[in-house]
Amino acid sequence: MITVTGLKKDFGDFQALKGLNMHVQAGEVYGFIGQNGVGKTTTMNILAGLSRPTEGECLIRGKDVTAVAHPGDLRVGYLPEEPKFYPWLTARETLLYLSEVPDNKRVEEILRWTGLVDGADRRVGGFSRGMKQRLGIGVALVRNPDLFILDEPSSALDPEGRSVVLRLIKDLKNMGKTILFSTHILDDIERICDTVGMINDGRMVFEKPLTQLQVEHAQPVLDMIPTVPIRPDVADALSKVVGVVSLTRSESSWAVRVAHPGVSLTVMSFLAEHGIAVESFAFRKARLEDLFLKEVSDK
Amino acid sequence: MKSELQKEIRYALRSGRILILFASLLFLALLTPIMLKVVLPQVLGGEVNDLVMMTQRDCIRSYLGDVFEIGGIVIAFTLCGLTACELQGDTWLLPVCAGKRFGHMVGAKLLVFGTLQVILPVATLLVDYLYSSYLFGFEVGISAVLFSGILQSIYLVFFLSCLIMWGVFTRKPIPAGFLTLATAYGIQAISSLLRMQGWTPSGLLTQAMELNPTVDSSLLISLTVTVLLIVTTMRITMAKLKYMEWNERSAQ
Amino acid sequence: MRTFVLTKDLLVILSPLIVLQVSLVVYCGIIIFREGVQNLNRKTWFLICLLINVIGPVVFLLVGRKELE
Repeated sequence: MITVTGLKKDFGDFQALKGLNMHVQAGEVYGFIGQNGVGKTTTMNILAGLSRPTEGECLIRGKDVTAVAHPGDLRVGYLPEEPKFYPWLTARETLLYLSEVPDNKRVEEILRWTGLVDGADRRVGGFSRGMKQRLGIGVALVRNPDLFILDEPSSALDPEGRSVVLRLIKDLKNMGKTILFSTHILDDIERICDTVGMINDGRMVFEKPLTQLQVEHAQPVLDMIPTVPIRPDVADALSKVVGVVSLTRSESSWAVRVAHPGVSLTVMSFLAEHGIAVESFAFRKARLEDLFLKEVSDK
Repeated sequence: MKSELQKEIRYALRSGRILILFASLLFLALLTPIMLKVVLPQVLGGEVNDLVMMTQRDCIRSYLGDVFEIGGIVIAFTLCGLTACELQGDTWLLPVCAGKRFGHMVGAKLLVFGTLQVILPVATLLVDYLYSSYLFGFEVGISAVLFSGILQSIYLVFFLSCLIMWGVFTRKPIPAGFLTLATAYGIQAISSLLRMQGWTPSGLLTQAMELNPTVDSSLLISLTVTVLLIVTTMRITMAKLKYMEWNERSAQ
Repeated sequence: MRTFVLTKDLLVILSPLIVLQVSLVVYCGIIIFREGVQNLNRKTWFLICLLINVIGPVVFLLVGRKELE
């Protein structure tokens, strides 16, 4: 659906994108992660036809985005980070205005889908952030495009608002749409994404299906809270046990990263040998968060 | 195009822009006759009064002058946000993504507010005409007044096109208003200095002041020049919009 | 300069302006106390609308009206 090769974008002397590659398949939810200011919005602007690349190629459905005369011709449902509406129009009027052909039935459907029926005839100026975001997604859908580009759709919202937005994105996926969305909330990625692309410093760091990512990087972690303090020399010995990858201490608990779950047996016998009783001994999978922090610190 | 027109009409009504323009113009229309009939004689005193005989013609002329000077300022700052606020507040972003054409969006503004620039000044001019005839007696024919009103309105449409163009260039409402005023008054000052008002939009105002409903060659020239200028400013606006990058981060 | 005398004739002459001013004050008053204001407080805006002939209400409608955001 989207193929980006060697995308570069300069703002004066500042290089926002330094040769980004990206591949989004039709029908998937593609999560675009990265810290603030690494070029997520710039990439999405270029893909929505709002900004021109300095170098490189962006293809949407096989067509170059710079070849269209007007951003609207790309037929992309685009939602900017902070959607701006006319405060003196009502939600219904906004949707009708932004429709290709004014269609009351479709607008009614979208209002119901986004949960804005009650506020439909209120002026948008009085809407909360979450309502505006929902209206923005509704506006993106009103022309019924097959591709959606959503810039940080859930980031500025409270947990409830976020759930609603994530549900809407899931609905879009069930309608068979392709969705590219950016976020810095990793929980959102884990909840709805098929593929994750991580961008850092204007380049793609990795681009993998979420499941593969979880398998590859799912080094199990043993969390344990000993009843007695572990002496430094014992801790040193523990970290040298075969199968233990790393050992980190935070407050009273210890996180032991191990190569595979079987290592837990070795760790247990080590603890028994040194007479260390534990309050808790739990096994967890590494979360995307840990991975993200690791990738960022590695760079 | 219909939805864009509807949106602009809603804006004009709901933001109170129509009311502001109408109230200000009406104020000028009612104030000028009073100034000339009541206040001026009081100020000047009896003897001078007999020398300066004010007529309805003077009154309407004075009103037309006021609309250019004071009305211009009011119009500039009432409508300065027409395009500037759309760009400053990014409200054009979603319509552009939704496939709205620049020509339609800007055209709707020119059409709706251009129509208002015809209706409102002509309506208030008629008020001024009737009111001054009540105070001074009928002197000028209604056709002459309507003719002058239309000429002035065409000038105001040019004024509006400047506002739209400067708004797109500055992206800020207040500078757009000042630049438009500078353009309008600049053209007026330079053309009267060089005695070439016939060749600029200001010629329309000079002709309107005559209160003489005849079409001659000099009027046709300034009319053509004005229309050409309106077309040019719109062309420049469109060209600027076409090569504009949207949703730029100010931080980057 | 002569003293300014408010005669009945003068009142008739001034009546259109008075009507314009009064209706604007009423309209702006409704907006001020219903929708709210910005840049200055309600009382100040109302006094400006009331005391400054027509220009007051016009200025209020341009810069004092609360913009929905």
